[in-house]
Amino acid sequence: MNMIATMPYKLSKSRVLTPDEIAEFGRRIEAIRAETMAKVGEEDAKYVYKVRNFVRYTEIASRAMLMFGGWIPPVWLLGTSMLGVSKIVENMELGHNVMHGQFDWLNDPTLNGTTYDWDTVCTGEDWKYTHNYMHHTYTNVIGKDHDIGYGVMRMTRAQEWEPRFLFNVPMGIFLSTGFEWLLSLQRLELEQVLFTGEKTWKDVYVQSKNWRKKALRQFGKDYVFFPLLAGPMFLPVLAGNAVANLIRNWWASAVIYCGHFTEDAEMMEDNTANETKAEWYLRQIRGSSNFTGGPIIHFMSGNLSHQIEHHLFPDVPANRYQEMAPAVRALCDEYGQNYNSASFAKQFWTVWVRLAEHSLPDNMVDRLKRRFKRNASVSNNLFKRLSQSESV
Amino acid sequence: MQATIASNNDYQANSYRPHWVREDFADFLLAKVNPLWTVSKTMARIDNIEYIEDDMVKVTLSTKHLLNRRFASFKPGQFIMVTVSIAGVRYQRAYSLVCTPESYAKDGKLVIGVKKQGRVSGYLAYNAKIGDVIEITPAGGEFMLKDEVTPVLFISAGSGITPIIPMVQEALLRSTQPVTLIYYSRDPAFRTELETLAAIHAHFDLHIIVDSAEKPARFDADTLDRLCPDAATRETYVCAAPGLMKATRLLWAEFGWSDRLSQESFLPVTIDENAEAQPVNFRRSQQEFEAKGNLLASAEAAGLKPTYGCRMGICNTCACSKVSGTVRNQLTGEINDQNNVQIKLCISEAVGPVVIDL
Repeated sequence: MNMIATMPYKLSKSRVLTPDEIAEFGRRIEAIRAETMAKVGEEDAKYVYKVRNFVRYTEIASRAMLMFGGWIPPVWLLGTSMLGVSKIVENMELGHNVMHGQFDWLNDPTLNGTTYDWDTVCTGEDWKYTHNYMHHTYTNVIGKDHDIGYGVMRMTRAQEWEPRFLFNVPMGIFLSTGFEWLLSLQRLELEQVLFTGEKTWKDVYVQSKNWRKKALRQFGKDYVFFPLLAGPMFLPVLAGNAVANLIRNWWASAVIYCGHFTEDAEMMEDNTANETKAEWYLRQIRGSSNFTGGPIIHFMSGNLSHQIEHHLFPDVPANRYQEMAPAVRALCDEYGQNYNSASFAKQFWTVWVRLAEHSLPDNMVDRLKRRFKRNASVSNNLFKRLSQSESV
Repeated sequence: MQATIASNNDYQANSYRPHWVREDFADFLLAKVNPLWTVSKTMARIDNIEYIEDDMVKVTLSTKHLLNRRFASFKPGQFIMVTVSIAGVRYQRAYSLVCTPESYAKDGKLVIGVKKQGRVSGYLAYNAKIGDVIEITPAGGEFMLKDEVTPVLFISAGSGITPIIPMVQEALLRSTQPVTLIYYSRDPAFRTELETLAAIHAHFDLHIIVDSAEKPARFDADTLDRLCPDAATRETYVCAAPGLMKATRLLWAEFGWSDRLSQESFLPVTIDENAEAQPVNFRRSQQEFEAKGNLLASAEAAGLKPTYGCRMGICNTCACSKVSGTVRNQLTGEINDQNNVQIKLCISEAVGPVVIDL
């Protein structure tokens, strides 16, 4: 029986389970899923149609505001942020979840996972390959899951350090800013032209046929069609659309970073060929992290605040993750598995610390850490002595 | 878990078209003005619901409306798919049209015969109201009169009569060649219509056989010989429950007339307990299960909820990409072992391990 190949570089907070424990753990996870799926029905249908109407009404309202009142700063601000929110909800709570097939059972062709195409540059089809298939199957497997640093950031010591990783943090910010565009290029695996020479630009041109169509549509819609339609309001609409896309890019990338790049999210060696379904569940838990918050945070993150539940049950309607979470958490506690969950701010902070740490060669980081610890203990001692002398 | 990474480029669909305008968004706006207005669908308004014999209802639909992609026309024997929304979930079922293309051309009304059983039919019979707008599809189906004009024999039982009604009328009007209908029923629906036709047309030989649950009628070579002695010279069309369908198929095969027999089935394909279990992997939802016979029914038995429509291979709602593996088409027996091709779950059966992009 193969165990999950644990990270040799960093101690896992999760206990190593025996094969029997793993199998039982898997059965218990499946029982949680079955219990929820039995409840899925009218309530979820109403919910998803409500979400879609939210997206439609906010998009209509915000575009109208920009078009007719874009020259008044508060109206522009309101229209722009509302359009940003509309795009966020369309991408995350609607598009992402629908494309996972979570609502296929509605039998509604307009909300079907195989045909839905969302309001972002990445084509639905490419997304289903890079995300639904590659990322969800090979979650956090080094060398297989391209979402580990997207090939441009160093996330774990298992990745050899290179000078280009000095820019880990700026790269993270850059990726975040152009998230929509850079993510859409993921399928084209440009690093194969830029770094490894496995293919040529001509190959890329051929493979990018669908990307070009979708990019033209997205660019044309937000930066040509709506601005032109607005006539004299051309500039406010153009600027509003650009900022709305930027808001969406920053927030979407923040949610995704918090899902897999946090301090304790484990990156694993490839053992997928011998992995059982139960071991796959364990890997999903070890590689994912949740963040806590109120109902607005959950809604705005497309319930990816429950990344662990999403990775265990990618095809269960996401609006059910909140009620599944306590059972998953209790099961993890029972089996000594780390249930990685903290506030959004805390998780987000550890992402950037992790990026910063891995931007330097490992021995340098270790040396710095030791020195920092020594300094800390020196100052601690000093502090102790001072406080003692005071008390004397 | 065993999954091999499909090469990146195998997976590029050539048919990809971005939605310049999302059709569902346009429909949403149009429906705010008038629920019959749409760019991508065919909508119909329920004009009348009439209770008739044999636990059936006759539902009259009107489709002609400005900005509704007009329902073109149809051939007698064809069906439309009707979609209704029950508790937020859309369900679809095929119904044969009982009106004729001529009457549709005149008044723009479509008529379907609905047996009051099952989810969609029950909804249409008990919950639908006159004035409701529902979604339908253009007419489909291959069950219709062949072009060549010959004597015709129709055999039908129960609600299987519905596609036969317009077919009989077409056959009677297009020539004076003999037309015979053998119709089994416990409570014959459309009896008046059929008897009126028999009174007008001398070349129409109508046999309505009323049986009961206690004394079910049997169809055999003697019955055929008695009611239609020249069956050998006729094109025969059968629409009935599986028992009668099988009986006619065997009889016609025995006589060597199989090429002159057309059948229409109206029952969905289900799990076959005797079939050998095959592992199926739904790749995107990360679910594996064992399929026995029909893939859709097996997936549902395993607790999955893939999209479906008619469950009889007509509507394409459950179509999905088969990434790898071999399936058999349960209607035609055709074997499909190609990678990355579209299959319909509801009529496919795994004959080996299968990976599906769902």
